Amino acid sequence: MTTMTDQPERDLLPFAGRLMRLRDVTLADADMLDQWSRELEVGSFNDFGPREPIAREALARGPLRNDRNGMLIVERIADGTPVGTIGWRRVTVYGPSPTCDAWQIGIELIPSARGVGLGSEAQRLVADYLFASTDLARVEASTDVANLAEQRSLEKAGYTREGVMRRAQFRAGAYHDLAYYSRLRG
Amino acid sequence: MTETDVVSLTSTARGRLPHTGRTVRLRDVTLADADMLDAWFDQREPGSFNDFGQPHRPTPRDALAARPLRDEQRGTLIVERLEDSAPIGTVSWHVRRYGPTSESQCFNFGIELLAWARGHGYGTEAQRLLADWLFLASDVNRVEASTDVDNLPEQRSLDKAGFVREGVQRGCQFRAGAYHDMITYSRVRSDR
Repeated sequence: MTTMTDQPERDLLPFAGRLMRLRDVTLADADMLDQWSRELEVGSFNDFGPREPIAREALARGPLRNDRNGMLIVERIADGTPVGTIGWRRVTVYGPSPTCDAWQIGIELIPSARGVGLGSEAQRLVADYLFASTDLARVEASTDVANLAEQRSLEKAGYTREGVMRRAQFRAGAYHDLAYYSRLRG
Repeated sequence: MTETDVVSLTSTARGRLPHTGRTVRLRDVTLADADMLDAWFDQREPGSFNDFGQPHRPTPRDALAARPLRDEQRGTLIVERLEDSAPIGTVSWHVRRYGPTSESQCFNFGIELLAWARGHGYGTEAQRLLADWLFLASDVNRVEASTDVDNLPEQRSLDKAGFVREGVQRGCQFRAGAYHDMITYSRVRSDR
C-alpha cells in the first residue's frame, strides 16, 4: 500500500509534449506566480477572492509536490516562457481505502496563452505524468457548465464527460453546476 | 471565510429529532444502541456493496455517552420502523467539498438496512426524510448519494425518494478486488 501514497517522482520532470512542458515550481517563480494571482480576472471561473502569497519557505525546501497535492509550471517550448500552472490534489471521497483515491486537477493559463492548444496538451500530459508517477487509477477535473472553453479542452485532452453536479460550487454570490470529466489509467 | 462560517453551514445542531415519516422515523443513536450496531456490522453480508473488507471499528461508546453521533463533519441516525419501533438500519452522512468557499460544502450520505427490512419502501422513505431533515437542520444547498452502477435497488430507491441522477464516476471505487463505477444522485434546495 505504500506505493499508493508515494509522491510523484522527480526524475520524470520536466515532462515534455509537443507545444509545452511541465516542470517543477522553483523559488525563482514565486514573484511571477504572485503577480499572476493579482492579475487573475475578477469574476473569472477560478476567482474565489484574493489569494495568499506563494509559500516561499516551502518552495525553498523543494518542489510543490507531496502525497496530497502538487503544482507544476506550464512552460511553452517555443520560447521557454512560463504561461501558467497546473495543479492536483488527492480526493478521498469515493471509498474508505486509499485505493479509492483519485487526483483532481486544475489549470490556469495567462490570457495570452489561451486558445492555442497549450492547456489541452498540459491537461493530457499531467494525467500521463500522474499515471506514470503514482498508482492511482483515476484523474478527474470539474469545471463550471458555463466554461465551454475548458470543456472543449478536456475533451481534446482525452477526458470523458461523466455528468453534472448540480449547484455544487458557490462562487461570486451564486451556486454553479459543475461538469465532471475523468481519465482512467490504461 | 472564517472557521465559524464552516461550522454554521454544516452543523445539524438545530435539527429536531426524531424526524418522522409515514412508515419510519430517524432518531439519534444512543449508548443503548452500541451492542446492536456492532452486531449488525458482524452480520453484514460479505461481498455486499458496503463491504470494503475493513476490520470492524466498534461503536465509540465514550463519545456516545457524551452526545449523539453528529458533528460538523459527519453523523449517523437510526432508522426505526414506526409500527413496532424496531430499529432496522442506519443512515450516515459526511461533508464533501466542491470548491474553496464554505458554501461549496454539501452532504454525501449512505444507508444500510437489515436484510429483512429491505424491499418495503423503508429505505426510500428514510433517504427522503434524511435529505428533508439535513436541509432543515443545516445550511447546505445540496445533499448527494452515490451507489455502485450494479446496485439497482438503491438506484430505484433514490429515484423514488426524489433524487436526480447526475452521472457516473468511472472506476472510482475499489472494492472486492476490482474498480467499480459509481452513480451520483442529488437533491438541491431549489428542487423542492
